[in-house]
Amino acid sequence: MRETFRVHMGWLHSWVGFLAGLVLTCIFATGTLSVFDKEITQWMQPEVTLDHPPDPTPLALQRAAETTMAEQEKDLFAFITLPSLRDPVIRVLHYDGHEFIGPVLDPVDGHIFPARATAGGQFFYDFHFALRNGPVVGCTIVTLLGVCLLVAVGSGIAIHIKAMWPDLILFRPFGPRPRAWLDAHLVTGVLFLPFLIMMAYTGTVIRARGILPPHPFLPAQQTEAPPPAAASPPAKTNVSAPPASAVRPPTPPLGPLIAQAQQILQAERCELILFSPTQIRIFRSDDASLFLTRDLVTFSRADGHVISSFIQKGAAARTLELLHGLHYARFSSALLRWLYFLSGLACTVLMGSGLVLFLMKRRKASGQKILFRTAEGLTIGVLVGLPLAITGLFWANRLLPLSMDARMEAEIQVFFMLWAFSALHGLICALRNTAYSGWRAQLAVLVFMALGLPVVDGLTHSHGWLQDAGRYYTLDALAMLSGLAALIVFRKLRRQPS
Amino acid sequence: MIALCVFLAWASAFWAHEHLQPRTSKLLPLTTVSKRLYQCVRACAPALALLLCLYRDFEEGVLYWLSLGAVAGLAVSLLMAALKHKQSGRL
Repeated sequence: MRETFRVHMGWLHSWVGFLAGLVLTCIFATGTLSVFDKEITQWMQPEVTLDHPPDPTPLALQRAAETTMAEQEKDLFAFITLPSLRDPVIRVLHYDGHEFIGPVLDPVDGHIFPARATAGGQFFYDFHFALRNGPVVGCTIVTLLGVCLLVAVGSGIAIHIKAMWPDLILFRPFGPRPRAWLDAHLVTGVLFLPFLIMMAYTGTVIRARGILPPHPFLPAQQTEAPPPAAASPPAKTNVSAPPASAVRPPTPPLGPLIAQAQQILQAERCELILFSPTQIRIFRSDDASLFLTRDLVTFSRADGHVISSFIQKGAAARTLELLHGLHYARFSSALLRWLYFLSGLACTVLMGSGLVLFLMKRRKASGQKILFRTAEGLTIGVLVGLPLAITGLFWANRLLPLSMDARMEAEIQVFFMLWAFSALHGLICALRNTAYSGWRAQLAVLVFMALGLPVVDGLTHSHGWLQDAGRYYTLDALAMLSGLAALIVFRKLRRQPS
Repeated sequence: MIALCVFLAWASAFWAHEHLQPRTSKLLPLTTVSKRLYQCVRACAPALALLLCLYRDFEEGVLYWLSLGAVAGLAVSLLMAALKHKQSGRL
């Protein structure tokens, strides 16, 4: 009975894990990069200097308000993000259907940095939560995949539960190849199980409304909720601003309003400023704790007096804030962010090794079948093609001309073209029964591109050698490490063709 | 500093756990005293790490405890793999 159950769970784990895993690996990889979305944006905009204190001056705030008004004149729903520990500049952002983009201002004198147009780290964030398919279709797919992940995790635990305790940290990389891959899958799966369950559960719960049937109770509750905050992407219908014909009164000085909001919210820092024709809403910053809050104070746009404040206090609301906070990881603790990053990386390895194991187990029995070959081609596209495309995006960021029209779109096109080319090449190689050479060729390109990224970064002279060195060299070092990891796999494949 | 202590506590717990497994004790034999000691470390070190984590902030503490534990486990796992490989090469 027990063995039958394990066999059934094994079948479920393999097939749900593989089919959903092809996309989930990409979601986890981009989610892992999104942990440092602001830092990646900063790397991709080297024109922005980050050595200013996080408190903005009244002059800078005034310029930010003027820039926001100018953006709103263009029918964009623009808002201000104030300097924070992670991103010590003022940004005037709007949602373009995929990313939050817009001018970057100096928090001291308020001048606009001549920053290159780029999607930055927001690109990975958008890919992670909506697969660049918008808040409706994309989010629904990702949420359904989250459910699949929970099923795969549950069935995986059922299969492995007996050996979980003795084999807690068992890893035999020097053993036979299938054993080494299985150990890599199990050791990452068991050690990072709490993180995996937490991310899968919170990620699914956050967007669960998208896959649940409508309930009369929920819309009624929604009307009492605060207006949608800019930090969680609004629906496409919110992209455009109020009609340009609406008369916008002059904005009162923002400095005193921020100070007042901090006092009312008892917050050390505020983060977002949203404008409507009659109101200004200032939101508490959520980088100080695990809770992703949307507490806000509403001011009159005419004279700056306080209209209302909204502070979530109930247990249910706080639970939801915690679920959001755990998943979005907006807190400023650098150590915790790095631990999230490492955990995300480990979960990506878990999924990648699962895909490889699926193919290894079936190669003897089904290696000649067209479905198997297609699966292998797609796996090449995911495991090598995605890192290749990500590195290509960084190369494009440094190599595309700064004054190029639609530069941001060009960067993104480079990403998708590289990825499509990699997937196509993988599929052709696999269908021609030369998957081994497909793996090797793509790994060689990945090694070249990843190891070459720091060189490209240095040669393009996009930033001074010591200017914000930590940010630039960290990403460059991570690219080099990825390149070295790819080189090790490449060399192993050269030695043991199978 | 606290994070380092938590990491070391977890690492020692995983180290002890692996040494107590029959497959490892065949390669790296233990005396009765060290076996007892390892059993104590395996039981107490994660609890000590949890205390250290919860000392300042409950919610963040739990996250630190879990994630530092996972990273420590992975580090010990790689270290043990290298050690065992070296040991089996000698035998």
